[in-house]
Amino acid sequence: MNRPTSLVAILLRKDLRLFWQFAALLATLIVVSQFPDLVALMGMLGSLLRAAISLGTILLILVVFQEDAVASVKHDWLTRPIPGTTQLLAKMLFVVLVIIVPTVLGGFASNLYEGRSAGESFLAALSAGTGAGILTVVAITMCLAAVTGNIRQAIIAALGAFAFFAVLAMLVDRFGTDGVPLEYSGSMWVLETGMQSLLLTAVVSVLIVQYRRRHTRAARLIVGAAVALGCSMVTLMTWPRVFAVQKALSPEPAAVSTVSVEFEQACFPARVLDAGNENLTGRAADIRPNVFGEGQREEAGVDAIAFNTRLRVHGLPEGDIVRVSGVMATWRAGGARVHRVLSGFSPQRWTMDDDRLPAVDHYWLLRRADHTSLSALSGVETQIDYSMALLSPKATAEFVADGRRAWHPGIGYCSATFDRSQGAVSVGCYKWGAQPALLTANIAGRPDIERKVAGPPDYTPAVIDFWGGRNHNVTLASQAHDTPRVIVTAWRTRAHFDRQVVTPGVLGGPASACPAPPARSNP
Amino acid sequence: MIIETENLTKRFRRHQAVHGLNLAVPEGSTCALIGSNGAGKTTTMRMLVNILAPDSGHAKVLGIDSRQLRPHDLQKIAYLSENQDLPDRLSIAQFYEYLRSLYPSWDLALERELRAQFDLPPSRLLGKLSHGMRMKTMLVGALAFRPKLLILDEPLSGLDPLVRDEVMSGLLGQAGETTILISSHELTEIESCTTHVAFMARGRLLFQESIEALVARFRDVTVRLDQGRGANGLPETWLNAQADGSLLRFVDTAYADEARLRDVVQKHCGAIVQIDSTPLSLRDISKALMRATRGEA
Repeated sequence: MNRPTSLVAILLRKDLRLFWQFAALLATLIVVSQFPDLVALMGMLGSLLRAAISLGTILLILVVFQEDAVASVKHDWLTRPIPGTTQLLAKMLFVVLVIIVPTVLGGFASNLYEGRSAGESFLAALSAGTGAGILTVVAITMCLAAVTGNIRQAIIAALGAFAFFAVLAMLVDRFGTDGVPLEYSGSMWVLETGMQSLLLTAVVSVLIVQYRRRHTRAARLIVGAAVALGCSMVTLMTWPRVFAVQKALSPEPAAVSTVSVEFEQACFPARVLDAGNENLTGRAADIRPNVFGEGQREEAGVDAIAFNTRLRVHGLPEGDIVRVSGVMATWRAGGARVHRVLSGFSPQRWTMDDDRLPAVDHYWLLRRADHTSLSALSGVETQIDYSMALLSPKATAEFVADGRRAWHPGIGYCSATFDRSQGAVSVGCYKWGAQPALLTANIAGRPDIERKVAGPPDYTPAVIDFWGGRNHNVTLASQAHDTPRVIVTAWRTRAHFDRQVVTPGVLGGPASACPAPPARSNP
Repeated sequence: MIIETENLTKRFRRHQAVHGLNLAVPEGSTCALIGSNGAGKTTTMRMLVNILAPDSGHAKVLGIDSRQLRPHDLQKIAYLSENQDLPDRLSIAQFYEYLRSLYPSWDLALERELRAQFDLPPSRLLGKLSHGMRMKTMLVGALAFRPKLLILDEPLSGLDPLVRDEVMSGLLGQAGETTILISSHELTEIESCTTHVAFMARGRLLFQESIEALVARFRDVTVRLDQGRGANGLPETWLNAQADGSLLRFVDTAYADEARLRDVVQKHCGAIVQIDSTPLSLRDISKALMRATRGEA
């Protein structure tokens, strides 16, 4: 071994000697946690196991790095002939050995146990062990350990970071993207990539500054600047900006030139959410309270008006489909925005309307008092902005739901199982590398049964989606007697585009034509 | 010079820890860096081994700027401090095994000899060692690779007399080969091996010179005068002057010989009835200087 390699080995051996009990316990827990069936069997203990692994991972990284703290003036290694970068390499290798390797090995064994091939098992385990989540936790913890002088400071910093990220997540959820739920929009990658780039830059800078120069003040300034930039990014990345990035990256923007939209009917079907629906007819009766979250219902208050909009899409290219990424409703009077509400968090429901055109339903909640004040405004109009994606099929595979797993080009490893007693077909696919924008499944030969999506879309550009994999799962209904065949389709993005629909009044027309449903308290 | 600093300065927020330090330690010497607590000795030593970066000025150690010290250079420098953080869950044997692999010049025979001399239990964890055992363990780790420069920050602090003697005998065994910079309040113990002395007060270096020159110019002087006088208006070279009637006591820091002392006393205090001057130990010199500089603060 040459000198740097042997030095890394020496330092690694020293750390393993110091922390082998802790490391062995954590590695064992990590391996166990990779067996989902086992974790499910453990019940409440399973949740505790996950929490223990998260805490244990953070704590182990902190203590291992603090054992030879770089921001200290007391630690023995500082005056030993050990290059800072070698010390860092040894610490990182320790983390890989104790945290990443058990995750990959456990995942590999678990996937093999589930009957997957060795190749798929390895790739799935590798993506679990090197996923953005685990690497982010490791990177942040290493960074905190590098800028703190002792374990007490490091733990306080870690708690501070936890509180910061909790607040940041809340801010993203509530304000960061105008309330459009990014995780279902397919555009989460815009914010994620920005944050991950910032994190990577900050962590690499901090580690270089500390382990090459030992300049703690500069390293702490970098951490502070990264936190400030992260907050700014969250504040500045509103939904229109996130979507503007997405739109700018459309591969074929001209493909949507023929696409137009309109509401299916002028007056929006509406009901009072907390009243019974015995007297309701048509689509108003379809507005179920459970399409809204509990928080939304509480916030809307008594006698809130729930209404539905159904958007027809015209001019779609043959074979293509359209998905709504985000939608916002705004009421305007005299050119100024006076009020805005968000759609319910229910999955968008696509149907074929009477003319066999694709149509999408959204459900909205409007407070009674807001409706009253909006109705009193002269010239009030409703504006609904749709951010959409046009998708076309990229790859298709058809196979029998007999439980056998096979690899399909462009789709990945797939299998389907038919549970006759439940009347359900469970389809599961795993793909490594660049993901399809959307994966759908349907029963072959049954056009009457709705095609279902396997999880939310993901419009991450292939150029940054080269590492890691993703599972796509969906359950289809089937009352067939024989084992059905399943068609799985991977879709690619052609274009991201927006469309706006403006109607007079508050509920699709003037109050005289489209009145609000009467309040229960004022029949 | 094996250590040479020029206007070395370090500030911690509002506290000026070291101010314009110009220190020179000759190769092969044993230099005692003395001064009261907070004088800046530890900060100076930490700057010398690049644990701390100076705000201004620079230090050369083994002819290399301390900021540029590389692992290769640290194979020739040993640093030992009373509050050093060690890998506490390693045993003594494991600690030496780890250190051995870091230093190509590690002398296994010397390690064994010192371990036997200090009676260090190999299986005892570092975290379970008494303060004295810990210091002896660190000293073996500092000596066994035969460094060119040994920097010791309070190595005798908190040790009982027996352990102090053991540590000093271990040190003395190496003094010939290694340049030693040592800070300590246990001046009686280190005096025998000290060749040079540097005195710091409030971040500044007041003087540095050979111990012979220092001991030669310091005298504890007691004078019985013909007539009593106060302690005001006396030469600046007289420290801690105390007048009690016709009796005057002070520490002379510029002693040359008895005749010159008598002349100077007569010039400032008048007729002398009796004058006694006795040489001072390093410990007493240090006490006198600390008392004097504390008075200035």
